Amino acid sequence: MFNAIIGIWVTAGLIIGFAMPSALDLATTPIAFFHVPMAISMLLMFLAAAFFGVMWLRSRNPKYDALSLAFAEVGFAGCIIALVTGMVFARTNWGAYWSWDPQQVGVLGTLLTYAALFALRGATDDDIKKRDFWAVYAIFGVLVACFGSYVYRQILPPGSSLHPNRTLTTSDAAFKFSLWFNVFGYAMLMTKIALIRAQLEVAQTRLKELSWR
Amino acid sequence: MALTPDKLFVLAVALLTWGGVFVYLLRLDKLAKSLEEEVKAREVEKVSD
Repeated sequence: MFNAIIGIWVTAGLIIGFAMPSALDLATTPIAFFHVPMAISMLLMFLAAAFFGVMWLRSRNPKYDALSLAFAEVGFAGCIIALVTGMVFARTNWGAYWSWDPQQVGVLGTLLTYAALFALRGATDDDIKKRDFWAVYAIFGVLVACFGSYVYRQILPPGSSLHPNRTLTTSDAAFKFSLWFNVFGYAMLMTKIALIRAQLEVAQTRLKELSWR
Repeated sequence: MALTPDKLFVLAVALLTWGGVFVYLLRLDKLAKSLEEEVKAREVEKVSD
C-alpha cells in the first residue's frame, strides 16, 4: 500500500513540476521541483539518522543503529543528487556549474563530512563501540548539514550567495503546492529506501550472530 | 499549463527513469522481506537444534 502511494505521489509530483510555468528568476523551473525537495529531504534523512542514533544510545537496540545508518546513507545519496542537480541548475541560471556559492560549498562540506563519518564507522571493529561512536557521528553530522545547507548562507552579508532567496516559497500558491507536494513525495520515497536498507542491515547482523552460535 | 514539446520529451525520460527506479525498489522490498523470513526460519531451526 505504502509502495503504491509513493509510486503515484512521485509520478504526480513529476508531472506537476513539469506543468508549472517558469518561476520569476529561475530559468529552468522543473528541476527546481526536484533539486529543492531533494535537498530538504536530505536534511530530513540526516535528522532521522541523528534521532535513531539517540534512540540507540537510550535503548541499546541494534535495530535503531541500523535505522540510523540507513537514514544517513540515504541522506548521503540525496546529498549527491542535490549537489549534482544543483550544478545543472546553476549552469542554466548562473552560467557555470560551480561558482563557489556559499550554499554549494556548504552542501559539498556536508557531503565530505558524511563520507568521513562513514569511513570512521568502518574503522571500528567492535560492534558496540561502532554503534556508540556512530550515534555521536550522526548528531555531529546533522549539525554540519544544518549549518552547511542553511545557516552558513544566512549569516553571510546579503548578496553573498547567488541562490535566489525564497523564490519558490514566496511564489504563488500553485508553486508552493508543487514544491511541498514534491518534498513530501521524495521524503516518503527516501524513507522507504532507508527502511529497506535497515531491514537488510538487521537481517545481515542476525545472520552473522547465527553463524557464530 | 506549460507543457511544450521539448519539456514533454524530458518529462517522458524522467518518468521512464523513475519507473525503472520504482520497479527496482519493489524488487528490493520483496527481497528484504523474503530475507527476513529466511532469517526467522533459521533462528527457529537453531533453537530446535
